[in-house]
Amino acid sequence: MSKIVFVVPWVFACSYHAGSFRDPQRVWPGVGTTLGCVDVAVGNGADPEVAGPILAYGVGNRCDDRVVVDLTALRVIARGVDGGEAALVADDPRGELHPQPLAARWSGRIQIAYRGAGTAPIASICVDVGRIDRTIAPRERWICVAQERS
Amino acid sequence: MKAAAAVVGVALSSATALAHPHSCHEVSETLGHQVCSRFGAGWSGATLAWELGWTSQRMPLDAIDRDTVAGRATAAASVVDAQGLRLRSLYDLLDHFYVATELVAGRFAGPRLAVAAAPLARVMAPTDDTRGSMFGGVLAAGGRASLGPLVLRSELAFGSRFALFSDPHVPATLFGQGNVVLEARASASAWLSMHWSAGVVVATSLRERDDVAITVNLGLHALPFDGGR
Repeated sequence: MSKIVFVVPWVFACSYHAGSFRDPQRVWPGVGTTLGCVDVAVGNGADPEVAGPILAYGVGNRCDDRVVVDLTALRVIARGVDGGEAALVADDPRGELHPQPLAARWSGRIQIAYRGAGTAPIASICVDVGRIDRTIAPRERWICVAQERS
Repeated sequence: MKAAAAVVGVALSSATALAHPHSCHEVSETLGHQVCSRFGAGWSGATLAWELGWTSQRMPLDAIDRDTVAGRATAAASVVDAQGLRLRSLYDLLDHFYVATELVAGRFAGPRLAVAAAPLARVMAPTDDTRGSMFGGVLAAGGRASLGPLVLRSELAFGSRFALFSDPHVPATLFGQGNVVLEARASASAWLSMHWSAGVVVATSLRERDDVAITVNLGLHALPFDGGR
């Protein structure tokens, strides 16, 4: 019985609150938007062991039903300081990326590294998240994240 | 008895699995570079829930014919009504399939014994009350479906149950009976919030006609709406 009492605060702390753009561990970095049942935030990621630009995604399910989050449907474009654009491809060496169910009132987080930026310095990376919720009609919704330049 | 011990073990391990997640040091949060998990781990999947409720159990007792220190105690086969608590741990493994472990404990008024040649014991008896205790454990598996704010379940349960009782006319003697439990059950619960539910479970034995139970319970769910209504 004491173990059940112990678990009570745990379960309440872990559910996702619509519009909060955070999970129990942290506030999601970057810019957030809402599409259907999905709150999504896109920001700069960091990983010293991984080369190339990295984006950090946080997704939250606002609804009482399970939703399918499709990160494979994102369009990602790098904008160079010279004004050029290049489409980026997710670096998925193990082939893990797939449309992923997200439980009701729950959240998930992932960093994705991208390839295809070339050698020119990147000013910003823009992501079209308009197809992330497979239950609603696709629409364009761009989120741009400025890249830090040393 | 082994079956009951196994059920206790599984029920406790379900809670400790949450309290003490396995220790793996994650070195990266980047797709393809994680060592402790894969993409999407923890986003959905199996869920846990616990239900604690008041239960009313009607159960048969076998006939008694036994020599005791007070004389020969006999009683015809009977049916008793027990009231107690029932704790269920539910594991929703798939969208519509779950397994459950369950512990139950209760009290009942024991059967009236006829005791031959026991005048001394009868004089010493403080009351005429006969009290008994019932406890048991089962494993269950079944299917579930959502209907708006309701969750409907049907399941089959297998386990064991023990009844212990004493009679003031037979001092220093404990009578015990064990039964195999094989039940068909149906339940309905309603969401009170995304983590809490209230429900009713009715059960009937597939072996004994007079073995039925009804439980009114309160449920606590680890994932909001068990992952989705």
